[in-house]
Amino acid sequence: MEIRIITPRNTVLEADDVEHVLLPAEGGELGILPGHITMVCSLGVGRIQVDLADGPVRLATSGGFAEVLQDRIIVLADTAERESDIDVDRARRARERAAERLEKRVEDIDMARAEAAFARAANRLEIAGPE
Amino acid sequence: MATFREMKDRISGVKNVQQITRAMKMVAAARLRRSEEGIRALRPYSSRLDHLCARFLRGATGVEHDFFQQRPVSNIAVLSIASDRGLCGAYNNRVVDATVKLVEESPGEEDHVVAVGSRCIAGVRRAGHKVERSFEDIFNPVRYPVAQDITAHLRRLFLEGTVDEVQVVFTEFFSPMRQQVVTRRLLPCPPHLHHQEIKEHHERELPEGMHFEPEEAEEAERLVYLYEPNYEQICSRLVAHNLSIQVYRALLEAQASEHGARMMAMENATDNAEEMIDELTLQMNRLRQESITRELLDVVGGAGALQ
Repeated sequence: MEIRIITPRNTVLEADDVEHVLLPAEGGELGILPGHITMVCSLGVGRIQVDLADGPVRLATSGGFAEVLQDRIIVLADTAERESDIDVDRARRARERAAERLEKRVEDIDMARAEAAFARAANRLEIAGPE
Repeated sequence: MATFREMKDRISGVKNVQQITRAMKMVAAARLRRSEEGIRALRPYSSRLDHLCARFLRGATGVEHDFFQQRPVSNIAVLSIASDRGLCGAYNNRVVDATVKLVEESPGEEDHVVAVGSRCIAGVRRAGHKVERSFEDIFNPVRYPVAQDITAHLRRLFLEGTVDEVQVVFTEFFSPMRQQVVTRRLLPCPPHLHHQEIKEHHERELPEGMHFEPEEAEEAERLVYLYEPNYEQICSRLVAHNLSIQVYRALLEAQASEHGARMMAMENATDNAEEMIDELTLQMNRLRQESITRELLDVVGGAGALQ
């Protein structure tokens, strides 16, 4: 099974020896094995795990779409970073900033945005490993 | 008549200017390279997204989406993208002119101009139009979340019924020598792009080594898809997402065009300075020769008088 994970900024992963993929679909985690039915799903904030012949690759994503074709998966992600590429300091700062905003509950700050920012940062930190 | 000293000062002044224009040209060239990479990096993503959208929306005659709503146009919104800096030839003015023309030709009373780049903001205001929302300092590099912010604002204007149409004016990048101001409609979305249109679009867009695969697209159309969470929601997300990507692409194109325009403008300026230096040097030498001749005549005349 092939996979391509593409973001507006780069191609994050391209592999053709994929055994299994876990996608953070909005309704919950979705596992895909070779021979899966063709499908389009939208992704939420979460973890993508790609099991290759020589071990798993884990990535943090902040949402997007996945298209499952016969033996081919194309992920169009808003952002996707491998666990080793995650900027932990930046994510931590982003989480603090978002938490601060959520705590203050100031009128003119868009709460939904702060919440989304918090979720993205928390997700990155979780995937990057134990703090 | 200028003195010898004055001429020398002028020449060194022009040389200084030339040094600056040459440096600016180098900087623009480097930034242009980076901007071009940004555009190239987006292509695999956007072409895939176009595929997906085309496939969905083509068969989707029954799909109602707010973004497809065609209303009689009274007020329009214009997203106008230029730069924060000058010294790039007519780059900013062209965008401003196209924007102003669009606004003045629109039937509505109100202007809803969303301007990107301080030169653009100033230009639109100078022409006597209001800038409803402005974005400054968003280039080098353009970040995708900014495109999302801009898109969210435009979407709101359209969905709330404040405007019936959203246009974008930006400079499309073809090469450092060739950029073109274009006006595109963002909303309402064209109901569906046909494969032919997409193919044409991609023949220009696709980099080497990538092909548009109509067979693949057609084959995929015959496939039965499973939708998660469901068809309507996927469609609606795709359309919304596609809009942000279009804005993002316009920003990237504009950025590359700006650097291209600046590079050319600075190259011309450097050449002009060179010409000016040559001319001034010639004048200066002539002046020096004249003064030498005059002094010589004085000496000879003086010697003659003494005899």
